[in-house]
Amino acid sequence: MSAEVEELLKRFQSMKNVTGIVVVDNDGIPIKTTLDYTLTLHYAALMQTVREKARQVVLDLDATNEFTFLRLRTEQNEVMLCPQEDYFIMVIQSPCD
Amino acid sequence: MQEAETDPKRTKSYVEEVFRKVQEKPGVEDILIMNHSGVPVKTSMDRQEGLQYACLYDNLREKCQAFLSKMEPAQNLTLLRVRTKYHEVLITPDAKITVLVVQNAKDTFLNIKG
Repeated sequence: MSAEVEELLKRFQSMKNVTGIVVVDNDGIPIKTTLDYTLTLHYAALMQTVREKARQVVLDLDATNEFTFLRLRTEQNEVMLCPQEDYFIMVIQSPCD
Repeated sequence: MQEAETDPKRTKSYVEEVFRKVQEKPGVEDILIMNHSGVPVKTSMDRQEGLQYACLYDNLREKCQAFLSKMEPAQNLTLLRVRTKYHEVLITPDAKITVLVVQNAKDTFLNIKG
């Protein structure tokens, strides 16, 4: 993981409302996390499936298009998923408009 | 439509109102409103494209909802936003209808990526 990503993670962490950051590799293994271990594994496994599904949906509609970001909003919190080539970053925050 | 059902009512006029209000927003390319079964009831897309969007994105929404239900405590999806290279798709599940909006998202994501 590059220093660039490290810097991004620090920036995310200092933001208000952010409650958790998880970095997961392509095999669904968490690399870096600020949440507790059990919750991290749960999020990582489920979001990996969601990521693949979203990527497939976008490709099915238009082969030239590309899935770049996903945001899941619920009453309690908001999960943001940013896929990269070798890993993806997940940020969990309290919803605020 | 079952008129005897309690709130929330999602009548034809409600759907028309939602459609009209969303259409007013700048940057909106397409709107698609589905009923509970995933059948499009009103759309600005052509038939083929609308069916494709409805099928694929509703499937994705179901998947995300299932994921959130597994979390402890279980949570309900209120908004799903999928950003792609060319546009952004927002899906808002409701009690009886699902509103899908395709828009040109104005942000600097792709610039940052480059």
